[in-house]
Amino acid sequence: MNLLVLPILVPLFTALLVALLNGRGMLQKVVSLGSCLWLTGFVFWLLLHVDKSGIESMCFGGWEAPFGIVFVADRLACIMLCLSMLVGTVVLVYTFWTVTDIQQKYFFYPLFQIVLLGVNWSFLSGDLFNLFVAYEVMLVGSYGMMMVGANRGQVLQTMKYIAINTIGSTLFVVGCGLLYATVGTLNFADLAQKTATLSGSRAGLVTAISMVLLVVFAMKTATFPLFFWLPDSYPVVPAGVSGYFAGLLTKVGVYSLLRVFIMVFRQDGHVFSINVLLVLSGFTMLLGVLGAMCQWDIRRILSWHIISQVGYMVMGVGLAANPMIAEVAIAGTIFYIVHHIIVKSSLFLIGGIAERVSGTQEIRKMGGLLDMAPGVALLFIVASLSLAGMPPFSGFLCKLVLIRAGLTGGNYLIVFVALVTGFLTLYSMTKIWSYAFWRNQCHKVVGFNYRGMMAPTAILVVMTILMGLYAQPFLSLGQRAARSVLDPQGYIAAVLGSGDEEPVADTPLEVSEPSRDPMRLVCGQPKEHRR
Amino acid sequence: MNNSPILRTVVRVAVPITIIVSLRIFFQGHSQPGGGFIAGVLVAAAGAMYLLGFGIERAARWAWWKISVIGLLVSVFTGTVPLLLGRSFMDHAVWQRHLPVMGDIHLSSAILFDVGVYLIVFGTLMTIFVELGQEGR
Repeated sequence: MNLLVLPILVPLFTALLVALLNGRGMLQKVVSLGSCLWLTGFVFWLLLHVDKSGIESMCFGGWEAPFGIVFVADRLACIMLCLSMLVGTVVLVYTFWTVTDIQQKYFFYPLFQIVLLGVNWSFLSGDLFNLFVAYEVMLVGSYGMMMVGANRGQVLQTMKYIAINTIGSTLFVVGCGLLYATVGTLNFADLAQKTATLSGSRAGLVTAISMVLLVVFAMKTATFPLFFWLPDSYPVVPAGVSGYFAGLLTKVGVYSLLRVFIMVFRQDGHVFSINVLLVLSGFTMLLGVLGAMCQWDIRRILSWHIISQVGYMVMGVGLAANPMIAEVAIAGTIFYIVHHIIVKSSLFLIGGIAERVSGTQEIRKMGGLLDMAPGVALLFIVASLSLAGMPPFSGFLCKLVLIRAGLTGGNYLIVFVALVTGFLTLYSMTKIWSYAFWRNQCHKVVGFNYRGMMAPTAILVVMTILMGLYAQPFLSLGQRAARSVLDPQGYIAAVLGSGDEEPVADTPLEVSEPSRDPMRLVCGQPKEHRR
Repeated sequence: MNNSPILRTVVRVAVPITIIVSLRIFFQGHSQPGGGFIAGVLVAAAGAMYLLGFGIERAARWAWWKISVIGLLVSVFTGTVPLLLGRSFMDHAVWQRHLPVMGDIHLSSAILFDVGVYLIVFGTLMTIFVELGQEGR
């Protein structure tokens, strides 16, 4: 389906158009918002279409699959696209109130579209090298975004961010080269087919190469021990846009982990790399939350929480090493990604409002926000309880699914770490609440009209309540997505075509009777699975 | 250095030659070494010579980055046309004719894409030259 190119083509055209309109702020806003809204509609339609009638793919310039560039939209990619555009649109509306003249002059709106372009591109890429290119586009956009209207602190942190990402990109290319030399292809579908037949020393070689890619993705997701860059660099991103960065950019890494380590690498002994991920995830969760506990800057606290939350998602990927719980673990991970993108973005947006209202980033200097801005306090308490995993919000359910999977698979240690992390997250959120919101007002009020910023933030907060109370459709969608990631036959058929069959022959998803109830994920496995 | 008559005389001769060479390299790029990127760099070199010889003030008033944006628009648009015609993105068409004077002509729609690249490279490099050149003032 040729329309698959739209999620990158529309932001690209918009970026160029908006760049030419530089200096006419109102027109730039209208054009960006129009294109974002339209594209959001399109990707939601795409999700419904792919969910109903199977995986779609397209080739660039008519070059057929293993040789040319392919875009593939399966359920997982579509879910990620929807989140990217949803959060992108919300953040765009939010920035209308925060963007400064100097930022507008230095191409704020075009850069935002370029970031969207890179993120959408990485979800649609059908081969490893194209994923690398998408990463680069995303990074170039984010470098620009961090530097926009630069002051001293921004330049300093951006230099670090560029340095670490350049190392990551170099390793990525090295990994691509090694893999191509060993297996002879970089197309995901082709790789999934070929690695499945590998065994012996060549399989070991591929596992070794996958470690190079593991380092790259660990850097991207901010997994232990490569998380140190994140809490320094995210706080300098312009307010609002940091919500998009926090939500999406690390999750591109988690998506790549799912795609590459679960779907593509299927050689003998690929479980090794997944087990490595499980170990790393434990350290990531714990160290992330411990880092958050000793911070006093609201943006830095939230940035450290990204790290610990990424730990949960990587844990879900790691639990997939056990084939008995793989489907539940991956479904839980996907649900967790959805929850986390929405909640973390909304927390950053709320943090931005709190900063504006109180005129400082330091929570010890804030105070009295409950009186000054009760609506913001309400949004914050919902989002933070959801992040910490309190019922009835979405954070509770997705942690429950993952912990349930861990207990079924007998990974008691990681479950313990996850529970402790959840508890400490709650502590850290309580700290923000009691210092910034609950205390008496301890400094002068900075008059600031925050009402316009509330509306887009509220959309995200309502989403997390909705996902908690009405979880079944989301869970079952996650489960269907997990199934097509774990069994790539449909993906391979859609990309390469299977012999004389029609290429669209995605395995029809007749949901078998016991799994028709998605709450099975929460309430436990049928007996025969446990054995 | 701006007032050196020797430099100015050389620049007056060298700039047109460089531009013609860059066009030659641009058009041979379809099947031989060359193409939009190298040709764009060459024109930018001509631009740099002009800046050295005649000063930066007049050039600094232009928004050179707009050339890159227009170039990118041309490139992306070339890729999009096949999409509108119901073929895949970035597909291209070839046009071959025998003309009376010019002989065999082989034109590919990919040349428009390369025009875009040419403009992007030229615009970007000129922006860099002008911005960095103003820095010291």
